[in-house]
Amino acid sequence: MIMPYFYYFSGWFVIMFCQIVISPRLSVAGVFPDFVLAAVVLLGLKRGWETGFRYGFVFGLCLDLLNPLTFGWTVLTLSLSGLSAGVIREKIYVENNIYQAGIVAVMAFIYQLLMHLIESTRFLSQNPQSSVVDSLFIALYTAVISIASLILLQQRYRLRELL
Amino acid sequence: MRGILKSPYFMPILLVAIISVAMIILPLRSKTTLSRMGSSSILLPFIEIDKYLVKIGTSFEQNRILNRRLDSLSVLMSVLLENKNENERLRRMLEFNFELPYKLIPAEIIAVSPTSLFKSILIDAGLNRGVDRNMPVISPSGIIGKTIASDRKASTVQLLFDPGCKVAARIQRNRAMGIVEHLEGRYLSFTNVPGDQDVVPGDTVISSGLGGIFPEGLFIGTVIISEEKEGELFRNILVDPGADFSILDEVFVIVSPAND
Repeated sequence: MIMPYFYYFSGWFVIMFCQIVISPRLSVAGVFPDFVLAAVVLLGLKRGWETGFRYGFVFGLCLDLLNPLTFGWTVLTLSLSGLSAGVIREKIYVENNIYQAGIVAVMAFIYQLLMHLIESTRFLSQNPQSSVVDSLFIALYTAVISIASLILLQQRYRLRELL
Repeated sequence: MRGILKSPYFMPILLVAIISVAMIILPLRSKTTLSRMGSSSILLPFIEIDKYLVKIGTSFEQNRILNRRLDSLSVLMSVLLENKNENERLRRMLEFNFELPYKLIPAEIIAVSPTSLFKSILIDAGLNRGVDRNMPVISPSGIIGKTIASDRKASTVQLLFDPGCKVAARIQRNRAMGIVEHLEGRYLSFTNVPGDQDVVPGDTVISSGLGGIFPEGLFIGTVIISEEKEGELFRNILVDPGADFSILDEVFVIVSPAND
């Protein structure tokens, strides 16, 4: 009964750690991987829309606490991302790392673009072209991180089987 | 419409939309308060870890910068210390200069002969500054030696420790006469002092001015051993030279009396 909560909490802790502590340190020329979005989308793809939605909601609430200017928006977009990933799983799911990373890239691009748009309504000086380019690079970086994470997880399962 | 309501996604989307809208329309002040509360509770461990890592990262950088500064400051300190010592030395020399009735040419040592006891040194004062051969060379602590050769810009100084350098001297207290020269060991010998003369350790030995090169009254050293040997005409007297020949930096060449 307690174990599922333990796993939820562990997953939450690890992903939040990656997003808040690791991600800024992996930044290349201002482009950083979005661990939370990758996790939410992958969970939606692997476990279905309910899991994706739930994680998206929780992570969104947590990330909203970090930035009062996008307060409320992150929880909305991340929840919808998790839900959308679950819907994709039901409609056009393929068990392939590159395919899943591609889905992550597309959703990360849309998510980043939306967040840029939300911010640009506050800061009108933002350049829309640079927003698209930034979103694209972040999406690609996130996709790369997703593939790496998927491969690592698969290796972990293989190791467990070996043991 | 009914299809949308029956959709399994409807309720979660509605729920999250309501919550989001409620959060979005909050005044910025309340959002800030909530953010502050969240940052100091749920997200505190991550923020603390992040801060700690930033501190570690900056500590390395700071450590590198501080080490560099320490290195440069060490060099600077050593230069300043050297300047301080030189300053003190020059001050002493200046005071010393005022006391003496001679015209002194200050000179710096530019080379020392590579022997165990320094027997000659090269100084940076030559004919261009009026320094010629057979001129006394002194330091604030006493006689050093005499010049034995000069060219335009430098002179060779024969030190008291060279056996060829002899100074006519006397005991300041009782004017007992003799010759200071180096025979062996770390000390100078005060020779040709008759056995019946009263010379005791601690007596000051000065130049007598009878040799023709060194003027009268220059400090040479202090008697440390004075003994009368049976069957010998002269006393065996050892003198500890006043000048420390191992740490010489600047010296003076006496060129003429001050009033010349």
